[in-house]
Amino acid sequence: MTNLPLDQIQGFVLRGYSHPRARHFTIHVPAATNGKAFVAAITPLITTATIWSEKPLVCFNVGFTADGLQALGVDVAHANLSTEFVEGAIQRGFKYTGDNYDLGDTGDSAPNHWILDLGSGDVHIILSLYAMNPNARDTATAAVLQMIRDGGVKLLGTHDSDDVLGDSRVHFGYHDGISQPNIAGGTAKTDDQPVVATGEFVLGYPAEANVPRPGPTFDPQNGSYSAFRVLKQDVDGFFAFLAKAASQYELPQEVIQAKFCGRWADGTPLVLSADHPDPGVSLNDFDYSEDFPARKCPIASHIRRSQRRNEDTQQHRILRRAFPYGPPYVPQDGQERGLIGHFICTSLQQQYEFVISQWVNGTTVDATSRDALIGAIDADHPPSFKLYWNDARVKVEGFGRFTTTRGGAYCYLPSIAGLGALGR
Amino acid sequence: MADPVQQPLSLVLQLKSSAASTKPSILSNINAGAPDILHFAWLIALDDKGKLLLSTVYDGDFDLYLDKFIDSSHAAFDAIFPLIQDGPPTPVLQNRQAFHDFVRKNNISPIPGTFFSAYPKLNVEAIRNC
Repeated sequence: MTNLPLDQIQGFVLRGYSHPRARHFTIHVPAATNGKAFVAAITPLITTATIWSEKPLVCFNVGFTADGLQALGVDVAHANLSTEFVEGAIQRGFKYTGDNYDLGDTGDSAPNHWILDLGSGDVHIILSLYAMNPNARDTATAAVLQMIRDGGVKLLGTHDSDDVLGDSRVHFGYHDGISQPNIAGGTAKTDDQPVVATGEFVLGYPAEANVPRPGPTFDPQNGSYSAFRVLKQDVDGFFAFLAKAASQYELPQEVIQAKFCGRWADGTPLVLSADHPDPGVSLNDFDYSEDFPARKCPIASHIRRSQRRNEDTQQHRILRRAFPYGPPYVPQDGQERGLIGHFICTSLQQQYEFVISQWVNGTTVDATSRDALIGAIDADHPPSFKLYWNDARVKVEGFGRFTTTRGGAYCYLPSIAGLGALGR
Repeated sequence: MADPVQQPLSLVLQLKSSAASTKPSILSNINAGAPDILHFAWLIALDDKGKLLLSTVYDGDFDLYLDKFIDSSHAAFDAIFPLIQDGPPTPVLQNRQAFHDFVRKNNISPIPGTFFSAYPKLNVEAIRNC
């Protein structure tokens, strides 16, 4: 039971879909009339948060960069849009590289290397479709391409993503997506974790500590922001390192893999079962209060540093709507693999950027070692990952960066009313 | 050698004469809002007329964490700032930039090269979890 206007909020904000075949389109708007025609055409197709009586074959959701809103005629400097959104992921990626605020889009991850024109400043609209099967994805694509032609906008590129590794696995072998925030007023099934204020994910409602988070002037309520990310994963390098480290440190490979993450590969949380995976324990009903100082789950581990649970407030939660791209892993097959999708919130700075710059790459969780799975590890920031196993402390070193940014964009995800305003 | 992860903040504050007796509550308010990034914090009375030095050593990006604390602890700041001469305007949620500007203006940076750390790579959380 909720009081939120479900027919106004884009569907993937309030829940993840179980549609495993995604395709993301990056689109350029040559003139406002073209952009408005395209937005007017896609708006009736956009999936809302309304509960389905029958699951649709395809879902559509859409986001706009600041450049895109400007191209549609919005005066972005005076529309009450957030500063970091207006600056955009390219500018922020180049600017924020210092030790105390590193977004990690450096070296090969820098915006000048991005694909899908994401580094060019030409991406205005990111349309995402989620389909139940590849045929439905292709049929929906044909419809999208027709709307692109009819509107006179330009397709810059597409990228597929397929959640087909089984068990919500990602290429590094982990069962992923276990812990999503419980949203106050939301419709997804909740668990025992704290409920997070609506305004952390939907604009126009109070955020944590009653902080107001108004939306932009043309869409004051029911929209959201997202960081759209294309993340390449060095799967060969990851498994090669695990094998080498297992030998070097005389630890089982599965243990190093688990300690890097904070969960065993099957999702068992280390704090609930430190010695071995256990399908009998809860996947998400835990915090770190009984593992302080950190012994079972390293303080530097991915899940502990990116979602702090009792170790911080609920101010920095993110909705993760992303899943793998690339075929199931075959060693050294030369195929690119990774993760692609939207990281949704209402304050890109206090949520997405805070987690990445202060916890994942930053100095306020473990300054001696950036996140082993997704951190911007380089020669200036070499890893020194401390873990405990069988009462012995082990410092694992010598690994490089396993996740590279292949593209990024800060998006505004309008409400349905907001889309109506943009399309007029 | 890279800079230490710890950073100093040394803030000179002048209490309004009407507020001279409230020093202890200011300190406890500050402590309550700063989990796990504050290494040390202390207040020194520079005279007997309410001039204070707040010294801290902390981790992380100053402005980003200040905004985090504005969000989480705005009520506490709104209670303290009226006690400070030329303090930032309240409510702080509607006057964020003024708060940032106030701190920059009143922060005294160490003489360059003189901030020493015995453990330059250790943040609060890493030390607490040793």
